[in-house]
Amino acid sequence: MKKILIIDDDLDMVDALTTVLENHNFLVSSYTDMENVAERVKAESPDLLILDVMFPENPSGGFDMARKIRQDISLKNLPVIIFSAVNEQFKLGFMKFTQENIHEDFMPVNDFLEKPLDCDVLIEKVNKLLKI
Amino acid sequence: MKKTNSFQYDLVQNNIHWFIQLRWLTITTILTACLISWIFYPYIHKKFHFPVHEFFWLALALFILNALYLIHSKYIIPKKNFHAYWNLYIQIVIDLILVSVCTYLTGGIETPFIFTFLFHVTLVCIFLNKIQSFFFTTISVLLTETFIVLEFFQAIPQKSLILTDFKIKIYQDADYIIFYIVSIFFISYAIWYLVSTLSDRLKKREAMLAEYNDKLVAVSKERSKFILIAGHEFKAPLAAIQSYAHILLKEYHGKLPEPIAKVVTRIYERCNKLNIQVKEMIQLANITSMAAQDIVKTPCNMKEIAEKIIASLKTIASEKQVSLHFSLEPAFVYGNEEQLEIMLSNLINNAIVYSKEQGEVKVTLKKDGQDVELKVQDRGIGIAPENLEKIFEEHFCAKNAVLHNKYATGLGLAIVKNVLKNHDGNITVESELDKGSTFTLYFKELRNEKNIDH
Repeated sequence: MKKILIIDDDLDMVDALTTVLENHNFLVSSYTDMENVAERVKAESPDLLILDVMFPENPSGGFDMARKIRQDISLKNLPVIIFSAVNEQFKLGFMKFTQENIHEDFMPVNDFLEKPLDCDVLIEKVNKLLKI
Repeated sequence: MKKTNSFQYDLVQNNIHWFIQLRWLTITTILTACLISWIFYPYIHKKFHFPVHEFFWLALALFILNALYLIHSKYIIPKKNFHAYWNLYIQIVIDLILVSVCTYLTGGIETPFIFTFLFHVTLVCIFLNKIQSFFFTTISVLLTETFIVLEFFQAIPQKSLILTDFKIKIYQDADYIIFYIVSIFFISYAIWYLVSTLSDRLKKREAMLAEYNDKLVAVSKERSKFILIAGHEFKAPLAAIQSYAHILLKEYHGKLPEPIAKVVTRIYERCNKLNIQVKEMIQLANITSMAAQDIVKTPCNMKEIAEKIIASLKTIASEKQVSLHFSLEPAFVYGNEEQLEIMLSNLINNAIVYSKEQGEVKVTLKKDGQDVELKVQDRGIGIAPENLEKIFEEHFCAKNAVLHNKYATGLGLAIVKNVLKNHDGNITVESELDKGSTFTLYFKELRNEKNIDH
């Protein structure tokens, strides 16, 4: 059974994601703050990570966490999905997340999923990254 | 405070240039007068003695001085702003001296030319403050009266324009001279008092209006900022609600009885609409929260932008069975790429959404003289003539638009209007109900780097 870790400050979002993922037979654990991310991820040792972008303490916290994880040798191959509403306020400006602008130095993530949740797209992307 | 200083500096620079221009006109007038009196010398020399030579040299001196003022204001003042006032003061003082000489040469109190110094008194009262203008009024009164007194005591040769003994007669009458001097004194200070008081009042009003305007701008920025923050605050809970509705509809919590499924579908749909609304509110607030001059602008390839937007809207178009045609010429404008993208996306999206099934949307980009012309044409539901003026207002939705598109927010064209405002662009709309609409946008073309102001 593949394990998925969710880090999102919105409990309802975590709840919705968990419902869907557990229904598709994934093991799910979650955190709602961005503390000690590398240690936590190592302890949980998930097969895939889902990250929210905006956190109350840091408006681009998701990207910062993703960068930290990429810098850690033992975690750098962990697939990461960013799960966020398209954000018009911060440095990404009006740029839409597209497949083309997901690359290492721009956003150290493997895929992007837009809020609100679309279950079919979520499962499709998760399966693709986990090669199921 | 810095703003006020630069504003004042601009004003003084403007006045300097205006003075210089008036002086070119004066020089031309003097030279024309010289020419006329030279040509018609045989006819007028019997009655008038116009000092052609003196006036010619005077015009020449004025010409050189004016050139100096111009050079000073163009090359030195921009570096040392405080020089602006000195330029103006020197212009005024030298002018007053020259005016006195002119009046003397044209016969002093013998002709009405003597009152030309009142031009300067008036201008000084308008442009300078009360104390400064009092000072310059006093200088002009003193200069004018000095010449009269000197002529009266025959300390300088008497000059006359009219070849009669009229001048000799008046200069022999001490009472008349005193009467004249006193009149000049009172007339000058009366003008000083009236004009400078009125001008003070006007300046105060102007300052008040500027302040009021600053406040209005600040309030409107504050409003945009608030909408921006509120919009972002709404997004997270909205996404959560919609996600829950979505997993219910996807039957992750079991099959829903039909009436409940219907309600949940409605919840989901309303969330969709609210999502679009919030997104557009944020876009609009983003676009209006910055003054046009603060927006980061770069040379933008309109063709590439249009191609990108058309590509991103292809799915929506094919879902609606609307065919997209485009003919795009390469054209550059100086602007903010993100805003231009949002604007185009809104316009072309509208054209698709308000098309009828099997409809057709045409996008044309071409150069037209100095302008870049972008046309978005559809054969959709059209706009009623009485609504044409209102479609750019925030939150306005025409009846037929709402019936046709349940996601209408009334913000799309407001966004377009504000992006255009930030880019000095124009838009025209032609439309006929049930036949379709054509939106034509005009931008100034960016031809080379020189077109970039900042």
